[in-house]
Amino acid sequence: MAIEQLKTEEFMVNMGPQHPSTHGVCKLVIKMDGEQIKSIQPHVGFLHRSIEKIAENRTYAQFVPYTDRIDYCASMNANHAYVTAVEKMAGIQVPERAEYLRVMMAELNRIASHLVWIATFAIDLGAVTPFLYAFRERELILDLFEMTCGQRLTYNYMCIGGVNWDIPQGFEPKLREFLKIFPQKVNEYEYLLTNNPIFLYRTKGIGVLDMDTAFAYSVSGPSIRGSGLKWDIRKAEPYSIYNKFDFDVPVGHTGDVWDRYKVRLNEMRESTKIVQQAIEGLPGGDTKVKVPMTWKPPEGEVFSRIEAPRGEMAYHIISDGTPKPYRIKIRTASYCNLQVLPVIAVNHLIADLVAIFGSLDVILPEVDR
Amino acid sequence: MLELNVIFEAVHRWLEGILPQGLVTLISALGTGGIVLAFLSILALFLVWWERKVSAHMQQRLGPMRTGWHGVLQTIADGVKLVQKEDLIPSTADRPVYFWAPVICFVAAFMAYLVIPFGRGLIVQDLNIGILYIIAITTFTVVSLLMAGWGSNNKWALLGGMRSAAQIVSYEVPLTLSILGAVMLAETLSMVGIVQSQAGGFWNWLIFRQPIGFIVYYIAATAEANRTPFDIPEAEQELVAGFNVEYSGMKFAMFFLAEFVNMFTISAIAVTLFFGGWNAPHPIFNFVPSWIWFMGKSLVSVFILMWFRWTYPRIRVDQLMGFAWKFLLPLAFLNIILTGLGVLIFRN
Amino acid sequence: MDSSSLLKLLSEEYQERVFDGKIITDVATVSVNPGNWVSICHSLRDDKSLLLHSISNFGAIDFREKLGGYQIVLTVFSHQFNHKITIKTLLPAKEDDSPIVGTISGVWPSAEWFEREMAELFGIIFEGHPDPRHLLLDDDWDEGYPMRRGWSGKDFVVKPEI
Repeated sequence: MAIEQLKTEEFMVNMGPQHPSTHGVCKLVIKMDGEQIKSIQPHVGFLHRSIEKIAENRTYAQFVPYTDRIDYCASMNANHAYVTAVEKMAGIQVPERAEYLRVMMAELNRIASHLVWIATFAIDLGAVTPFLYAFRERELILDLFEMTCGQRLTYNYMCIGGVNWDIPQGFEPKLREFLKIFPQKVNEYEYLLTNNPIFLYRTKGIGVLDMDTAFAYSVSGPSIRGSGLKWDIRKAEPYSIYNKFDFDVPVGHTGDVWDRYKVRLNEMRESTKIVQQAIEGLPGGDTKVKVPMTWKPPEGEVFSRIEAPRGEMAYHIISDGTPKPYRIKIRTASYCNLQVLPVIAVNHLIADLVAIFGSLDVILPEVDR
Repeated sequence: MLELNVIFEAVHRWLEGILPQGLVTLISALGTGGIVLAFLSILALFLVWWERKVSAHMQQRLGPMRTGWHGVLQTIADGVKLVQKEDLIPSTADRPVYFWAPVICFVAAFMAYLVIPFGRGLIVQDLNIGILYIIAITTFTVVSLLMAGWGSNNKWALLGGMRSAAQIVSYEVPLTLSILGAVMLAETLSMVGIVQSQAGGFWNWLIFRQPIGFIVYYIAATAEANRTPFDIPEAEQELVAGFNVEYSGMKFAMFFLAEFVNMFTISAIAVTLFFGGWNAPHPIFNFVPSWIWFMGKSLVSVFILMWFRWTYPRIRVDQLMGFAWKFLLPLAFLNIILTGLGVLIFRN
Repeated sequence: MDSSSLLKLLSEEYQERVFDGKIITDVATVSVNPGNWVSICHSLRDDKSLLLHSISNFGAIDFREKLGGYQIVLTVFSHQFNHKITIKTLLPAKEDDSPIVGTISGVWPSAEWFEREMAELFGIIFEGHPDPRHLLLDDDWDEGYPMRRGWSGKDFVVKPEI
């Protein structure tokens, strides 16, 4: 065959649903030209459990455990989003001790979630060892959670009107020990990754998410902070008692993969600060107000959002005055963050796609609900 | 003195006494082949276990612990499992290509040991073009990986095969050029000759006269063996498993063992060319058998390769190519020029 | 801008298109007619004094019994001014009707998935949607629109009243 008759063509590849780098069951249909990506079409829904439909069929209190399953890496934050929304609608005043415990647990869970992220992100880039380093510290947090509520993944810790259990004896010294060693451990991850030349090659200037795209696709959380916008709902619309704590909102500059990585690392340090302040200032008193089992909230609706580890998690609840919600709409961060992937990953190589997908920290149960 | 060549020579003399000449040649050829094959198989099993333990301890785990002392029998158990597995061939695969790919990979990996000097007098055949032969024969690996990628009829495998072809062809050039410096100083292509030229103590080792050559060789060889940070042909996180994604059972085991044998090969060449081969670092250590020195040095080098793997992230395919052509190749040329100048000045 | 002044601004500036402005748990909320849905979204996004360039939430509610249709609720917010507003529209529908409304995926690209989800779960048709496939459900799903109230599927069991 003459050389002029040879031709090249683009080809389609299915990445997922069983692929090690899709972090769950997401299928990306990729059109590629050699190694270069020409277009991406995400297919989600493999984990769809119709949690919103289930909500219409449960009482408000019965729905709390389901919120755990929306984001299994950060169940505390998912709990927090739901209970704050319901309390805002019904005007329930939560005891101060419960608020402190909520913030403490939510921030610990944020650290745990970011640790899972660092671990899997390093694996995406081919560095296997940081994975186990990060899981070592996550184990300490999970031990703390297990002490408190007996669970290691889906905690069902917060309830409408407070928290289900007070912290047990022996929790505080263990937490203080964790807070003492953890900042050094973050430095250790930095030592392994941050200035590693190969890591820099793989992350600097890759998957740049500019501000306009981030706005248009409603990107939130560390992913938009990586682009340089100082936007954190804990600061912008302080819920719970976040206005009592002194912490910083780390931001990046260029919006590339490295910036998103750095933002998450620094966020772990800031969360440690918050937990430190919470344990120092933990007041005594009750941990919950009594809310009857067949509690009927007033008729009405509420929109409430919090800053989950992956970004904005919002609840829109419509109550018709019965013990069951009329409709619950859950807005999750990954749902919007995943939509931006085809936009920023196009014209990159397949190896970059893995890095970009990892850096957005998408968790699929949150997308599918 | 536990030099193994003494034993082999004694056996050879004994055979010569009782058998006709032709039969002795045949038996010694088959015998040495069998011994090398057996040695490498055991070595590969050991290296798989060792890699698992090294990675485990680097990651604060224990690794295999249940099978035998600290899990030494783990790879044997794995091997038994792999042998028992059903031999699956994808229905759309190109059957002959798919079948022969692991065989070629395996054979190419083992053929290199024809000229590796394990100790004083402990070499299968001292070819006078030994190092050239190794470079030629190890390049066969790329054919097998490309065959595996193409024959599997899987897009991920094809991408992996293409990547490996591009990678190995690119890194072959700096690899060969980096060896050239050592050859110029040793003034021979024979592996035994190169080792003998470094005898007398560690100050005669070529690493001290060829540091650039060694660095280029080591990086290029790591890429040749598809080890992290250059393991892009199999890149689990990107290409699932690259060229061997469709392989299972014994065929997969052959790829797997070949990878570990290749790792030992590049270590053995590094030791032979730059670290004095079987020579002791100082003449006072000559009472230690030469093959122990060789194995010890090689295993240290293997350990360093494992260390790379469990520390570094994986480099991207275009960066990999750029690194080979824009950095390693000029460096290798520079090394040749400097070596040539050195030879010209100091020899005359 | 706080919610009350935001509401005042909205009711004054867009008075011919919005109505029923109120504050629901500190979010300024206005209603529009389905016919004005896309145009009001366009104007709000392009309004330099509001800078509403991100969607916070976008969902539908089955209000067929109470209000005679589906209500779609969109909450948009501004990072710069740190304010948010909710826009609602009621799409009249009876029984098994599939109401039609214009797509706003051209206004805020992230609305695309929200609309796909609403289309498959509620049976609302978004006219001009660039990619009207199923998002969460199977491509060959044929058991109706599960988020409609009173829907019953093969394995769906309604819990008895407490």
